[in-house]
Amino acid sequence: MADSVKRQIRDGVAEGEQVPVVCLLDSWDKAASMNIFKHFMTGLCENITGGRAQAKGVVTVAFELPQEFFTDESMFQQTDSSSREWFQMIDCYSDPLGWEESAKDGADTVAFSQHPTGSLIVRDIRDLERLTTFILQCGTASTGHQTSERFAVLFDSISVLLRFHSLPAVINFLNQLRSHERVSTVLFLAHADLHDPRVVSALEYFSTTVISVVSLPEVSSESEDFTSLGGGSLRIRQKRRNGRVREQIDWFYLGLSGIIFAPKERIVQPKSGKSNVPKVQFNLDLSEKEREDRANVILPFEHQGNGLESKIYDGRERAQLSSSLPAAEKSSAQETMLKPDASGANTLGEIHYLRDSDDERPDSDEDPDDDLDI
Amino acid sequence: MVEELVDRVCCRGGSVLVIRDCVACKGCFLLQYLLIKLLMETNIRVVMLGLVEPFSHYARIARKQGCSLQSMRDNGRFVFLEQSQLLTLQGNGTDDEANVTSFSDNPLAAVYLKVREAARGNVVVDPAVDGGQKTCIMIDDASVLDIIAGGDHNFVLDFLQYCRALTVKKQRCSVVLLTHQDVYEESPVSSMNLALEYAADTVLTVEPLSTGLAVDVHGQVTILHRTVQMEIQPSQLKAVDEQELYFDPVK
Amino acid sequence: MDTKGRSFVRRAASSGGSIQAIGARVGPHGNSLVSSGLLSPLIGALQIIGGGIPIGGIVMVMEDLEAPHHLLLLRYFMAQGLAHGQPLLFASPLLSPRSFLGTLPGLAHGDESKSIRTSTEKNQEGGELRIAWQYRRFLAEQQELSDRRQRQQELTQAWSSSVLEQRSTSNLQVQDYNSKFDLRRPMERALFCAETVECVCLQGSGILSQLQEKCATFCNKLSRLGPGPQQVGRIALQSLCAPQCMLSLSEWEMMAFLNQLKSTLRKTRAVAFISFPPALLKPSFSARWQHLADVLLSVEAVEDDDKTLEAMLTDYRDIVGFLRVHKLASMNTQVPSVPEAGSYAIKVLHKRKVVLEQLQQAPIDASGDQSGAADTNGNSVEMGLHRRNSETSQHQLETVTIVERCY
Repeated sequence: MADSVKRQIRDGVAEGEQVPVVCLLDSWDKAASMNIFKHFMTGLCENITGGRAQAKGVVTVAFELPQEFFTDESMFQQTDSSSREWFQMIDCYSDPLGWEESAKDGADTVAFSQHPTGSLIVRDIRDLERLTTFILQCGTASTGHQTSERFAVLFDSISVLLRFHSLPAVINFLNQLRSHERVSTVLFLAHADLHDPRVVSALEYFSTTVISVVSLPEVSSESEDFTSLGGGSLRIRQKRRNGRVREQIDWFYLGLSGIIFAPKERIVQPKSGKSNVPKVQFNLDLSEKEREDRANVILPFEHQGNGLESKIYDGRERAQLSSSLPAAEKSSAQETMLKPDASGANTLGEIHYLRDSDDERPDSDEDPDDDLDI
Repeated sequence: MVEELVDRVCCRGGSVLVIRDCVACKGCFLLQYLLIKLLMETNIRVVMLGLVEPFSHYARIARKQGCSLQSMRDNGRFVFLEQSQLLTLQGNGTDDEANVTSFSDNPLAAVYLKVREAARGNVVVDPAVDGGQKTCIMIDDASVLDIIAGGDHNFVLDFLQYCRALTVKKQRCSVVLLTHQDVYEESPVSSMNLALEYAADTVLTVEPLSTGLAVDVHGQVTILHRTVQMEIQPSQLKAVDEQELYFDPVK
Repeated sequence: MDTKGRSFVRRAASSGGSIQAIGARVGPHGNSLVSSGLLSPLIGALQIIGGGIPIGGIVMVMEDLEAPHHLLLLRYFMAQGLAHGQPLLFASPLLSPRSFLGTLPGLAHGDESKSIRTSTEKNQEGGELRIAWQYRRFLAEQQELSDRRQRQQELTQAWSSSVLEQRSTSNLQVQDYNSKFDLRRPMERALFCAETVECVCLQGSGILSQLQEKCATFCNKLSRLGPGPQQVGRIALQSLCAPQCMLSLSEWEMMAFLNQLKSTLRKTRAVAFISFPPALLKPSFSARWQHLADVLLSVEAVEDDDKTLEAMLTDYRDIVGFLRVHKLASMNTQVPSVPEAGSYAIKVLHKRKVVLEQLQQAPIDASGDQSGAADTNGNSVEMGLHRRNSETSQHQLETVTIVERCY
């Protein structure tokens, strides 16, 4: 799946057109986007070794991942290892600010150095001009120094660059690469949620194809071969030559060997009977309903009459107390009372208790024990 | 599960494990737990940046758990860097100091050089283990790095990048760091929380129970694996005993 | 304060890791504690929150914007130090900090303290009468438990001191650990005019570096390795981030100072007491300050004529404010010490004596109130709710048990 993007990367630039720029935007789900990036990269590599691609070489600039991630053996198993010249790595991971190198000799910063494994270590990513030169140098090397051939440039994350440079500087840097005659495609990854929406739209504006990764927190499937490690969808928007935009949504999941595309039905299952909530022996949190239920529990000492507020007779506000009783209850209560008399002449069985009035304080302010000297 | 973390994260070079806690529930016990596990059950060297507590604090807890940090320190398995050690460069215009300031305005660059020196110094290459000995850098806690860097979060991110890229005998170091969730909950630095998450391979979040602090259950730990595979392992309850940690998975 | 912790104390004491000093006593995990000067008389005989302040630790009190209760705590902290003849460094935004020392409470005389003691006992009795009969046995149990703890603590101390052959001095310490103060009596002039007392006014430019220097020299004299008589120093910083002394300071400079102070303290025989108004800091910095603290407390004002509270708390009249315990020190241990009570009422008895009275709290508080440690604007109504919870606590527990069985 996502074949159209693969095709676009493979075909590169057409006559009289701008170099296609593919922007891969993720938010939060780093694992998925990294694997999708790798998926496109492997696809391109296969096409290059098969001779089907316009580009004859690849330059991968690693900002966020160690180069081991890209150069593991699985990628090169088809090709013989001696002819890896077409695959060039630029390492902006190990020493992006030159702390390692300058501390060693204390002298002026060395701009770059060759890694023992053959990749280039950039010592100062704050210098974009130099970085451009390195990329072009490596590109030339990757095409076997043939001036007529083109190469592809891949960035594992542009977000690191955006930490050091302003947005115009980064766009300008990308644009320089894009307008270079030797470049066939540019693919970069950015973490959308790390940046302002303005920055993200600028990146979208700049690129020809925008792929947004939307990950699913829960992936379920019935098939047994499906070892779900996460998944989600790719929203691919391609700006076409005629001015239309084609949108396509692909679904994927992460397998042990990388990204696997699958139809949506295989990835998103309608919620079956079993829930995904982990089974617990006990639960210290309360659900909303439990909370409600608990709030509704009438505690033994609470007044249990139909949710009425409890009124304790304290010698005052008698009228209020009796009026608050429902009419029927009131009448029956009156019947059971010892010779109730509305006029109040017969006060047999009543206890007279007059509480101190409210405005008088129970005691004076003074501490009664204050004068004691024990 | 927490028990797997040692193999899964700490032993993998270049990986970063972030522990985030809050005022109500301290997360340092996880750091201590991983430290003891690493020292007792693997042959990984640990370089620890003790920015909060002195060595005696860690050593005393470790002793209760049957591990002598002092002897580990003596034989080079455990390197402890105190804050005062890390910051001595600043202010006393030595040659090193001059170099440091000349190549970076980041005060953490000097700290990094110290860490590298400690990590690379007296590495014992064990012939029995292929590929030499791995190193794990522990930071307690990373929010102090912000203070050293004068509040510039980019400086801290650079420092962490260098720590994870640090190679000792061709083996990349792994990084375990403790930080606080609530110190970044404010714009415009709110991106720091996210940036840390992007840098991390695994994030452990330590929270108190919503029902409050209790004597036998102190809180809950959520494990989130971010790279290789996305996986959230929710709500593990933990109870801390004087000698041991109990993790009760909510499963 | 569990019994398991205690067994480690012995070993720690015998290994000599703790510091023996005047006015200090052995605490758990090989720490030494000094008294904060404030007592909580109701539960247990006489107990201080968390047992005391561990040497090398920082106590932070989050001020209430309206009530000056932090000053009350500060006064007691300093008065206790002076009563023990400990060196003191006091920094305050006041123009003449030394005059503030004149307002410290003086030592109460023996007979008065006895009278206070009896009156608190009386108070206790009254407290029992107010409580419904079915809860009385819980109170009795609690009392028994705390008595047992107290005895055990004394036993441990006697044991450890016998090992160190300092029984006599140690006993003296135990007696003297907490002095009794009388708010009406001013502190003796000789005590706060001593050479060991230093004052810094936190106003003017460049004050932070000056303060930093003072702290450094103060701590230098108290190095743990140093010979001579072992003394514990106290640093009291009042309203450190108050606007009047933050003129030209960035928050990060302040953080750097605190961080520096903390790491210096860890190596010295000193404790620091810092009060700050968290509402004046950005939330993220407030959180940073709170993370730095070993013991974190906050004070709250009580509203005058608050009818709901008055109905809820029978001794409302005596209460001047509330004290909340957010965090207790966990030095040399990874086990968080759970405070016995989250909230205390600050009471002034007989206009003489400040006591902290434990507000009974529900064992399970579903409102999650305790978890929000940064919650400083918890108002008095909420406090009332706590009280109400405590009355229904038994039933809440039962509900929870049922929930457990369901799963």
